[in-house]
Amino acid sequence: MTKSKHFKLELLGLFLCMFFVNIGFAQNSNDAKEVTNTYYIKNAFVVQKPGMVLPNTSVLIKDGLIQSVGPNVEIPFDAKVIDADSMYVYAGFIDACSHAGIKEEEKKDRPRVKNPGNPPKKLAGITPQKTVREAIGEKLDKSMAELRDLGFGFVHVVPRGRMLPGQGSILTTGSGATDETLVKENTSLFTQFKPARGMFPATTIGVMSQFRDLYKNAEYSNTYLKSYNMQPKGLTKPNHSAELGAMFPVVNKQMPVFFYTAKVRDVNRALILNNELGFKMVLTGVRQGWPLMDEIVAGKHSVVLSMHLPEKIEDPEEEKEEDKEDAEKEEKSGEKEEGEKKKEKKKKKKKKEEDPALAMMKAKKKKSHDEYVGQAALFEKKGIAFSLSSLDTKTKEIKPNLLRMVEGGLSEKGALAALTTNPASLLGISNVAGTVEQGKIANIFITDKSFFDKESKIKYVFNDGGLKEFKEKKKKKKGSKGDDVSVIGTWNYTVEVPNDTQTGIMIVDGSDDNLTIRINSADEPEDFVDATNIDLDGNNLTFDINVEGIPYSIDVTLEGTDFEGSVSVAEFGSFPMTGSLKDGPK
Amino acid sequence: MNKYILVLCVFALAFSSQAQEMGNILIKNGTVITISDGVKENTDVLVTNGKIKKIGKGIKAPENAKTIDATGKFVMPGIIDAHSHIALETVNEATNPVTSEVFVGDGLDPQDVAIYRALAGGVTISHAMHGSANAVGGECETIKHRYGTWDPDELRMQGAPRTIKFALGENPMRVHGEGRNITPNTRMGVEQVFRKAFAEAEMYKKDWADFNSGKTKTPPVYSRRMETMKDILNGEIIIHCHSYRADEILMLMNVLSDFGVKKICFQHVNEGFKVAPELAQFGAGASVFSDWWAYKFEVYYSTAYNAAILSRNGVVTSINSDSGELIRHLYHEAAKTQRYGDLSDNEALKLITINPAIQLGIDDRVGSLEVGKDGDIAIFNAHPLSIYAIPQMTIVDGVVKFDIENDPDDMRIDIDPEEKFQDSFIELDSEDEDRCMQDVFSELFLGETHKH
Repeated sequence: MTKSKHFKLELLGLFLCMFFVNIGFAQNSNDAKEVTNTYYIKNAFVVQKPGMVLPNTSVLIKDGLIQSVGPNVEIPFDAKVIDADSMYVYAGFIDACSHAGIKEEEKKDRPRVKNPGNPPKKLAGITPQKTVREAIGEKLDKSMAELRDLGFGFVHVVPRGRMLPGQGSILTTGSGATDETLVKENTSLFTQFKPARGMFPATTIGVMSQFRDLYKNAEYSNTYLKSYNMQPKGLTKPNHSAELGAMFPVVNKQMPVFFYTAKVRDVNRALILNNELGFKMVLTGVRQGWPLMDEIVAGKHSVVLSMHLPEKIEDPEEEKEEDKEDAEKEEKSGEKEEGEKKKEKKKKKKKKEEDPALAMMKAKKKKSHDEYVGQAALFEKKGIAFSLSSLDTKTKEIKPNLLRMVEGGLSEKGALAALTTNPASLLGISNVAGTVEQGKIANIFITDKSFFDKESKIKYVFNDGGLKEFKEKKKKKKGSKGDDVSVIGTWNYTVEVPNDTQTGIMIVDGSDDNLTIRINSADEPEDFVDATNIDLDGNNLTFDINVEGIPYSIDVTLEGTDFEGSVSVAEFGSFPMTGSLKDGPK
Repeated sequence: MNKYILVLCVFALAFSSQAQEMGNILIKNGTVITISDGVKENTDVLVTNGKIKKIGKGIKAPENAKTIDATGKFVMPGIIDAHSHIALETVNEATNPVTSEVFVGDGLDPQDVAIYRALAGGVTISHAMHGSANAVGGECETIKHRYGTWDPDELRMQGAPRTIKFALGENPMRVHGEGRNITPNTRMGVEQVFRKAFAEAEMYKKDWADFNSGKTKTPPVYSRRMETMKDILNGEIIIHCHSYRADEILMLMNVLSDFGVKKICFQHVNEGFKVAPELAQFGAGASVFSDWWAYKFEVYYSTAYNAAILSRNGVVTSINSDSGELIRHLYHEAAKTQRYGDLSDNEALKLITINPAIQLGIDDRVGSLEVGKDGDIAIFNAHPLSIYAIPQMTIVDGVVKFDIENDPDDMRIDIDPEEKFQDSFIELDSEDEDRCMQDVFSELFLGETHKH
């Protein structure tokens, strides 16, 4: 598409923008086209807090707050009622440390500096003054919505970077502007043992030294500033840098340092600095903390464990079972066949089994794996009220990993506490989050079964006053009657936006696993744009398009020769989209 | 007040959790090479609570002590390596000609299997050093080989004096001069880096003294770099200087004299034999290789007689490894001084026991078998200077850390839960011969490989 020509979808964006400005609507949920802001969740199992499940209980939500929780709550006339029989209501989870919402940094060449021994602080990764607002910038990264769809209602977001990336803030997982989702701003200092590239501090030992240096200077500057503020006469004007200024709340023990310490040696290093300097500290993103458990317990340190776990190793038991099956099969079919080959194969297999060095190493690996998985259970046993963090954890692994932790001995109650009440108290937001109680922010979610059931699915997510409903995706059954309509073909589509209807055609080509989609607008029929991220899952089709910088996400469900769904337009929200097949495949 | 007591309690708890394991052990009927008091045949050594309690004949084993029969075996103090880079995550912060602010003890790796390999060579203590990329490198750490722990703090030899790495010659010239075209580009430049750093430290010391006495009101900028330089000026840190050429060795002694610094041990010091009387007069130590040179232009003028010449001239001399491989047979390295220089058994063994202990400032605690010293002991099947000697058992603080009778194939501690196995062979991380310049070229330049 050429720059001179205008695609109607772009106009649509502008149009929407005007619409929202005019009525001053605070956008809250990406699916919001709600007619009411009062919701009534009827007759559910309400998991009010870890270990407390209230059966046959209803929850009334109004204006984004939990209005009441109980067995006999009256249904207001304007409430949207959600029949939640046999469903579970949970307080939105709290991710105790994450980069959600912040775009991943592009890989850049190593910056060149004149003096690598004393580089500009920013290039060296030392920006403690950086805020989450700055880090998020204009556009919220989609990682935030992904967390929300997993049941997270709140996130302690910290900037990305190297040694001192900046300060953390607590946000809801809403999709509105940062201003609207902020719960608490600049509540922590995020720190990592991540050296700069080719300049000081280029090593972990350099980072240790740099941290001490900054801290001590912040202490001196802060003390000086205090005495200057009391009696400036006769004193030279204070002239500390922005970096030092940002560390004043830390040296005053008002702001905790969230120290990213995945591995045991980083945990040790953070403990060393903490013993020396005495700041408030939270060991964060801990994957391998158990070897220093005694020290962590003795020092009463706050801990945020990582939700990352090593790749799953299947139990050797299962392997044995497989072997058995194999053996049985062999016995059944074997005898008559020429024995030569079989024997050799068996021999090989036996040989493999008998290599004691490899077997020992495999056993050690499994033991190590089990220690990582069992860490959460061990911390629970030691009475440490830990929280959990999604740092360095793939979103799709979060739930499976939580279930693995439970399998590894962590109680469901403990897991739930680590996701709700513990982080709420760690982050100082217990009065607004962490439980399903009257007066709290209604960032809650509803599952069809207990969350810790492997099969459980989220049905509804409430977030910042909005509701997102998760409809079961119907799997397309191949070969079944009347359902055999391919997505391939030319489709007419209609998008309803306030005061307008947009139409156009969509051409789908290729094969089911390798689709191409081109789409235009009726106003500019010659201009097609190509879709990206095309995914056909059963009869659910999703793809993205980008029109002169504005991203659109389309999510539709195919029903025979029609489809129905929505298009989400960047910050503007989402709008109903329908369509029908114009021409089938040739 | 109550609060204060509570704080103390927490500290005590934290400290106790780091306390090292101390063992009780009785070694019966060995040939005991004491280093400080001759060789004693058919003698027992008793270690209680990690310290040598008694050396003599017919000692009865206390109830809680493990007894080891050393009949026909040789019992000597644990070997000490005054120059090594094992058990370190990071060796070089190469970004500046002066990096006295860093400390390799912040990057200890107690899971490094090289520690166990060193134990298998009878080595109980090593000096984990910063690299030689900078004229003034970082502080080093003296570690005890208490392999088997996860806690880096348990490796540290509590109470050992602070030490720091300096470097002369081609390494700092190449990294900073050639690499970035800044001082030092020449050997003259290296001298100026030292002089400037010490001069700044003197000013720094004065600035803080003025502030602390109330003479000035604005606090000076706190600098870890200058704090360490100041501590060197105050005699609190022993310098260990990477060196080869005699002229530079004399140069550094002159610089130190000008600034009143006395504690120094030269490392490598291949041309030490040319200036042995001067080193002895200054009171400088020398830690050398037995017979390793010609790996770089400034290391051609060398001799295997170096250790013997230095020793006979009254220089406290040791033989070091600077390598995860050599560290396993320092007793062989020491024996070479008998072929090249005719040192006596005791003179040769001092090179790997009491002398490195003196150079590290820990000779009051280790380096010889004496009542009251640490129970760090190596047991050999033959005289340790014999080519047939094989270490049998290595003991640290009275705890057996290596036993040839119980020496499993896989001694790794930190196992990657996602490690991949290969069918035919097992890949263990191979130790570079020398890590003096580790991290330098990966960080600063690409594609170069270097030694020393």
